[in-house]
Parts: sequence; C-alpha cells; structure tokens
Amino acid sequence: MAKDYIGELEELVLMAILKLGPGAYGAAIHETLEDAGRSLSVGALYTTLSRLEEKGLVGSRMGEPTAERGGRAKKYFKVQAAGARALRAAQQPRQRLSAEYGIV
Amino acid sequence: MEADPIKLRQLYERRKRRYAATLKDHDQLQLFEEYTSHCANGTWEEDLTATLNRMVPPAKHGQLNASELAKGIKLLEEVAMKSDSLEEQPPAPILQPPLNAEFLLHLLLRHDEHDAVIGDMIERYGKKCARLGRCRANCWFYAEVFWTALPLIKRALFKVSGLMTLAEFVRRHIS
Repeated sequence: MAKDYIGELEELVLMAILKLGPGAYGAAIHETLEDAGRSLSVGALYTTLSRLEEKGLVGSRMGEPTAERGGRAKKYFKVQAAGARALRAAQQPRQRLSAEYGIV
Repeated sequence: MEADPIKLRQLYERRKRRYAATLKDHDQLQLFEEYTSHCANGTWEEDLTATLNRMVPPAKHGQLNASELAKGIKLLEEVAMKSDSLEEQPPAPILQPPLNAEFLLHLLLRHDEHDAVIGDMIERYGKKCARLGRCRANCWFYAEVFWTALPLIKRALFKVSGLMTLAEFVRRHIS
C-alpha cells in the first residue's frame, strides 16, 4: 500500500496523462498542467514522471523524432493499471470528506 | 460521377493522410482515425461509403444515394482544399534556443533523458517564440533551464551522497 501512495503532484500528472490519452508526452503534459493552473518546471515534471515509472504506475515508449523538436524524439507516457488504482485510492478520502462537508 | 476508381482511390488515400497530418488536436485526430480505421482494407467504394456514413450521416442506413455521395465528395473536396492550403504554406523555421543553456541541460541529464527533455523544451520554446517574441522566449528558456537544473542537481547530489555513504560503509568494514 505504501508503494501505491502518491503525492499531490503525482496525482495531477497521472490525471493529465489520462486526459491526454495516447498523445501524452512531456510537453503536452506540461501544457495541460499549466492550463489547469499548476505551473512547474520541465525538470520537476520529468523527476515526477521517472518516480511514477519507478513505482510502476506509468509506462513509457519513445516516439518518432520530429522537426519542431530539433529532431528529437518524444517520450509517450501511459497510466498503468496500478496507476489508475493509486489515483482512485488517493481521491477517495478527499471525495468522502468533501461530501461530508457539502463542498461537492 | 464518372471517374477512374483507382485514381479516385489514390486521391482519397492521399487526402486522408494529408488531412490527418493537419489535425493538431488529439481529439479531432482520434475521431478522424475512428472514421477511417475500420475500412482500411475495403474497396474504394466501401471505404468512401463507410467513411461518409460517419462523416455525413445519411437519412437511412445502407448504401449512399447519389445526393449523399455528392455531398460526401464535396466534403472531401473541402478537406482537400483545406489540406492543400496548409501544405502550400512554407514550413515554419526551426528555432534554436540559446545553446549554452541547452549545453547545461546536456551535462545534467541522463543519456536516456536527453531527447525527451530537451525536445520538449525546444518545442515549448518554439511556441513561446511565436507568442511572446524571441527575446522573451530566451528569458523563459533560461529561467526554465534554471528551474529544471535544480531538481536534477538535487538528484545528482543524492546519488553522490549515496555513493559516499556506501564507500564509507565499505571502508569501515574493510579496515
């Protein structure tokens, strides 16, 4: 259970990956988080992503290099089943408390 | 509607590919791929009919009638015109961010992270250049490299301190 514990930033990154679907790569995740009002550096995002990968909550694959990225490849991320479970587990207590206080 | 079916098929395939390349929005692209993926192995007529059934829902299911087919051809023409006009535009120049900042990232990143992280930053830099201008985009890039470097330096220090602790542990047990 301790392995599945995720922090606030990890939770947001997982949600951004789920929102983007198969097109989830670093810059798109970064932009999605910025649009949602959470700005962070690319380095912080990749540190979070590699931590999530180490925990087995997300998987990744390299894409094709593109010209707009100076010929560098994209790294696509996908939420694994364990990631979806961890996300649900992280959101449940908050939702319960919010419902109790009538916030939602 | 007399036309060489092979040529029409080739034209349709080419336009489909070109149109898909113009769709930047992920949802639009997914929708378009859904429209076309199921009929990849069909004939030209089946392909067109099946695609248009989804793009222009006919009044009733089954074969498209002449007016629906004409409507579909018109739609494909519009798609082709849109992709032609986009194709005629000269490609946007690839903007290079400040090299010294990029070099700093090279030093700090792991080899397997180079492409992904630097590529993402170049992509975002290009967008910032278009929106804010080159000077402000350069400032953004330097700031981004600084804030990106901090967690990377922290990670490197953790590794070094971990190795030093291990070395100390081994030295104590050997002596």
